[in-house]
Amino acid sequence: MTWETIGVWIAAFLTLCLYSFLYKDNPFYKFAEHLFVGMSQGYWIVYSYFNGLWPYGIVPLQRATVGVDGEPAQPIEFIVLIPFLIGLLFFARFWAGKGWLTRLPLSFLFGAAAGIAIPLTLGSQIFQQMYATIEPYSKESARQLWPMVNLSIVLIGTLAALTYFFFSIEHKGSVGAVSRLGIWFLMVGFGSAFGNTVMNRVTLLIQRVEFLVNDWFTPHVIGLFMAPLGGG
Amino acid sequence: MILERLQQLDRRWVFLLVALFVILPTIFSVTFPVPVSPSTQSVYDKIESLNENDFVILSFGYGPSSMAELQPQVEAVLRHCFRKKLRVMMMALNADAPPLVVQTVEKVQSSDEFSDNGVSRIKPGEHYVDVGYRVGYSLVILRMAGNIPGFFETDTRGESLEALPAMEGISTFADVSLVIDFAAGDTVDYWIVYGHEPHGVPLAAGVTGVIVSQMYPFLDSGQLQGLLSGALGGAEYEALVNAPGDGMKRVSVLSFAHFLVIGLVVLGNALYLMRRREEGGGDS
Repeated sequence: MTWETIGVWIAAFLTLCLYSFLYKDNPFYKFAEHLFVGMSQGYWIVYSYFNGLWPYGIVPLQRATVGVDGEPAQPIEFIVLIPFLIGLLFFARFWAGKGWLTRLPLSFLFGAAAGIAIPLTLGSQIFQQMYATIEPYSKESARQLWPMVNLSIVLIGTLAALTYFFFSIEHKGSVGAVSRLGIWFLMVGFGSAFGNTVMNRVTLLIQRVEFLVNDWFTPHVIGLFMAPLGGG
Repeated sequence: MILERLQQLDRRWVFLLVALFVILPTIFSVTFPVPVSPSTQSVYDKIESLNENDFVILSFGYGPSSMAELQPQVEAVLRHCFRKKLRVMMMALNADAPPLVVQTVEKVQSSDEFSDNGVSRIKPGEHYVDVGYRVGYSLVILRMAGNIPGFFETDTRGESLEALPAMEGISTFADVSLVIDFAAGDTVDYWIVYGHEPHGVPLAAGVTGVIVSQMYPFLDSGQLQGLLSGALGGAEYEALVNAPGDGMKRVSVLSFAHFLVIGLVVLGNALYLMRRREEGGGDS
């Protein structure tokens, strides 16, 4: 029995353990679930350490203190050291009375992220979308019937959905009517998202069924029974 | 009587039906033709419009839990890139993506189309570069913008990027002809906000079905030059590059499951309306 065969049997066993939940909750499901969560976290922590903290934090510090690969120590890189030290302050919460120090890296993170993200996000996700809703009307192609209908559906849908989320005016009369139209557009959006989510979930099932049928059951389970008969 | 029994049907019968509608077509390998949608055609046309040696980045923003949908997409796109003799850089924004990069490259480069007597003509460092994973999503994109080889420094084999033929003349985003992000989460948003918006890097995406609805506005606005949608996107691209694979198989099986889901939705609503009529018209 090769390592690959052992791997296939383990994968098949764990897949069946997880799908057994569809019948009812049971210890096999719990075992597979906890194993999956633990392994995912372990993998992520180790991989992030060796691809983040190690090359960008530990190695530059080593280089500045004792040297790396037999080379003598180099001048310290403050551009690495300062964020590394700020990051270490996150651990201050483990010391009684020093928890307030975590506010420093948090405030730095919030400030830096807001400074970088807000202008770019406004530009790309608000202004560009507004532009794309209106601008096509200026094109020659928009003067034909169906492109005009299509653009108008997008424009009316956008305005109606926004009206639904405008809570400063009571949704009565004409505002209520537009708001209800907005609900219809939102429902179409949710329906589209639901359909695509069904496609996603069923595709995951298909891939596991492919594995169980083609990689496990046919070569290994049927093969196991056929072997004494001189087949497979 | 039948109505009552259907209304009280144990949901596990539905699970069993779904399983049968997936298992039977998988065993009997049923396949349907796949018409190509305009959003997938746009990705194909964009790659077709590139010249030999143009530089393309494939960004892996997903892990094994989404490979059922995204792996067929990325394999078909990579095949197209190699066929067009484009230089490809593959990078992972998810910590669990690097093994998928390796798996994708091995599968495509070892296929008959790119091999002679079992030896691949596609070489690392010359035709493609795998730079592996870097922590930080948006920070990775921001730092790449000004100096791609300076940020990654080496590929996964430890070779200096500046010495690789595949990276010759590549410095900033201005040298990149196209970025295609394959995503199961927010990485397309990061590319739009931090790559496309400030630097104008041409961007396309291949995403899972769960998030594709959020992506269409970016396609209509021109921020995405093309969009592959879940398993269907993979199947369509396989059809376009004439390389049937897992995507086309899965989307055919998917059709059976969708028939069942549509039937169940119609049945569920019909039962609901019948019950409401029996109870005297309901309150709406």
